[in-house]
Amino acid sequence: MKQPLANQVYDTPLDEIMDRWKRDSSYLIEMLQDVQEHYRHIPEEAARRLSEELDVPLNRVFHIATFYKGFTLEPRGKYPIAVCTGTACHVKGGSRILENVMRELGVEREGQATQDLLFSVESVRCLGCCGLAPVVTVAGEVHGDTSTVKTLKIVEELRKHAQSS
Amino acid sequence: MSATPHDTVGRDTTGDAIPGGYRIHMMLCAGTDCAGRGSYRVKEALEREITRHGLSHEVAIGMSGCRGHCGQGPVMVVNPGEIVYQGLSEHDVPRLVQEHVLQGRPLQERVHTLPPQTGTVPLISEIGFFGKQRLLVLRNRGIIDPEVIDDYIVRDGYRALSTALSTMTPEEVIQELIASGLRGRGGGGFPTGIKWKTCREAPGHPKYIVCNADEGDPGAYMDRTIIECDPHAVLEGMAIAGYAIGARKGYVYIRNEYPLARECLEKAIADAREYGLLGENIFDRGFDFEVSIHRGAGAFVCGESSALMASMEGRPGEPRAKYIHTVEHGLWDRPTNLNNVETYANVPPIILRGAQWFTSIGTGDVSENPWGGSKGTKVFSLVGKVHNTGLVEVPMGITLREIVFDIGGGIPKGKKFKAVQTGGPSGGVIPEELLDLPVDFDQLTRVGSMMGSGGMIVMDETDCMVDIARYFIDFLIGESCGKCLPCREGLTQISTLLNDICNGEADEHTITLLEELSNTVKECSLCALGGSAPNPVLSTLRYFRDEYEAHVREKRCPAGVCKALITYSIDPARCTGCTLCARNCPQDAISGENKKPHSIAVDLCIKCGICRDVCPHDAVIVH
Ligand SMILES: Cc1cc2nc3c(=O)[nH]c(=O)nc-3n(C[C@H](O)[C@H](O)[C@H](O)COP(=O)(O)O)c2cc1C
Ligand code: SF4
Ligand code: FES
Repeated sequence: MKQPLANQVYDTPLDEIMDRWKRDSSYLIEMLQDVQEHYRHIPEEAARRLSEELDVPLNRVFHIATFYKGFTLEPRGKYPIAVCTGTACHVKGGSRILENVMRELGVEREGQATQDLLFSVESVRCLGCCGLAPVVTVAGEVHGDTSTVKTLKIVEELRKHAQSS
Repeated sequence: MSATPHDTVGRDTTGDAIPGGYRIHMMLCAGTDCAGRGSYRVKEALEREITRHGLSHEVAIGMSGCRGHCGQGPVMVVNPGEIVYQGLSEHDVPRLVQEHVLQGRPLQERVHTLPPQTGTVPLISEIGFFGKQRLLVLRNRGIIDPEVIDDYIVRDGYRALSTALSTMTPEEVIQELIASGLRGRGGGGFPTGIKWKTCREAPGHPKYIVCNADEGDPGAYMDRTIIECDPHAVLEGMAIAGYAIGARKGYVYIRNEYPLARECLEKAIADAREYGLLGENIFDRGFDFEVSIHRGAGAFVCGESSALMASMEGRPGEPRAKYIHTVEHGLWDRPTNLNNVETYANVPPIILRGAQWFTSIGTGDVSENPWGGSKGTKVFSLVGKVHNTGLVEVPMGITLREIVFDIGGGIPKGKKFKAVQTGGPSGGVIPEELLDLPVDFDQLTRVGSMMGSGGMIVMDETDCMVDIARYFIDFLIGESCGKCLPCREGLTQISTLLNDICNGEADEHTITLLEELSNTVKECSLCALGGSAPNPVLSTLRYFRDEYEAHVREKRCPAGVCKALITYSIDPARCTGCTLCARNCPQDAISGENKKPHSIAVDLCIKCGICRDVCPHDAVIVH
């Protein structure tokens, strides 16, 4: 059994993604998910090509890309930070952690990346491990029983790591 | 039902499934919580240590799905004796092997303890957390390795399917389900047998079976755990539904946030296919059934039947009006049976042990009317302000008090119980006066909440009920599909009113307006998302009106949550001057000398709460 929540990153360009789903437009959502995983957002160019190749109106591709929470139109940071604000985490201060981390990293909107593109901050509604509340994931790794201070420490370490390499 | 040592399938350290024969079986939890706390590192350390002592042929080490005891992970159960360890780390391993394996006595300091330190209680059945539970859906939890199909088969797996195919007609299967009184576990509580019957009788071909694993309730994880610890039970339930309804194709619609559950399910489907338990001509009875997986993309509304099916067809997940039923016009306009994960997992035991056995558990009488009671068990995710957080499975009819205090072990840090929230964003809060309420579909609805899919969030005196209502409304604003006006605009207005109350900018009139608006949204929305969205507001108003009134009349938040109405200060009697808060304050608003009481400059304070988090002496207080 693999470690949970490991971010699967496919090393495949758009064509392979479309082939994987047999270029069948009823799998458009699945394809967009793979695009999101690969590029960390839905690039406009990818949306256009999907629309042309699958013969789906472009507005439908964007309707879907903006309807579902899992898709973003702007790139996430290299280390996306997701603060759980599910109910269990909310009552244990999750929403406060979100606010504090955004303020300290200078991120104004959820989903936005920091200026150096290293981090982005967003909320998620329940990661399904509420027993560990409050929970934050950084680059897919789960940190339970956490706090603002602990999260900012992880951020500092990753930033140092990124600067030294 | 609990595990007896001889029916546990052990696994040796090389990972091959073996049918027992070991002296000791160790099962570590591989659920997301425990894995997050390092259960895999403990497993590797154990394997090294056992090998070092040359005991690999005597001690089997395996991973199991979530045991539900998540607050205390990593958890490990050792048989014989069903001894439960908790909070393990790799550093405990040498001593654990020394004591338990070599000396034959449990390592006392890591054995499960009851929250108020009443001494060690090593047996599963003696731990309150497990003692009052009744494991039906989670019967294999922690006993089988979810990735090994043989483990499931040894525990009667796929026998219900074989019984149904070889000894029962589809109509008889449906009759058994109706007689069992099983009601949908996804929230609505619709009788499953009746739904199957309608779908079987609906004209149109082919028909589809869909399993709802979207688990949208933010703060609950029953379905994920069921899939992660016993995926074949869900597949078997779906196959039986396929046989009863006359469908050959099933889909599982699963949240994208659950990669581990998805992998687990993918493996289970592949294994079942290899064993001929899915695919063509199952058990040589001429019945074909295939299952595939659809990933959701993060939208609460996609848990709703018609939105879910729209999403599966590759469209935005927008509901349609309820008078067109998905059992008749579902996926690609064909008759489609949608049930929740837990509902399907209930099916195999009902077929194997019979409706009569099932009706012996639970409340009411379903012999005449399937709505006449709530039968069987329900899995809840018990989280929030309780000692033992985790997944629990209890017989219907148990009281909330038993769940929160006996199983959950009460409220931590000596705080006072305030309310429990059930039903997720569609549900409501239940106050202390109603703690003796028996938990079933109809009782919860009667008091203004609902069963929902099984989220149960315990709140203490430091949780503000207005804030909780605002929390759910804000969640739903983000999730409303926007198709109909009452939900789209109404919820935004409700949120504005709640914000005014939390910010101390409201008067009595606001509360009246809030009530009127909530009732309008409830009446006029197109789908059940909007229709139930005001419930958190209405139920907090019903039981905690005084708290709303304190916000508007006295501009005071009694629980100390609403930022605009509180101030932070430091209790000089408790402060030891350790300087921790001052060093962590992002505003440099805290001053004081080393080893002397500190103080907060109110004009600089942004009420971020960090000082309160870091203070080791609980000296930071909120008014
Ligand atoms: C907004 C909304 C969200 C829902 N979310 C879920 C969900 O996450 N999981 C689920 O099983 N049912 C959910 N439901 C209920 C389903 O529409 C459906 O009733 C259920 O899956 C039927 O299965 P059951 O009869 O086995 O409960 C939701 C309903 C609504 C209106
Ligand atoms: S009630 Fe809300 S979610 Fe349901 S159809 Fe209307 S806008 Fe969409
Ligand atoms: S509420 Fe945060 S993990 Fe469930």
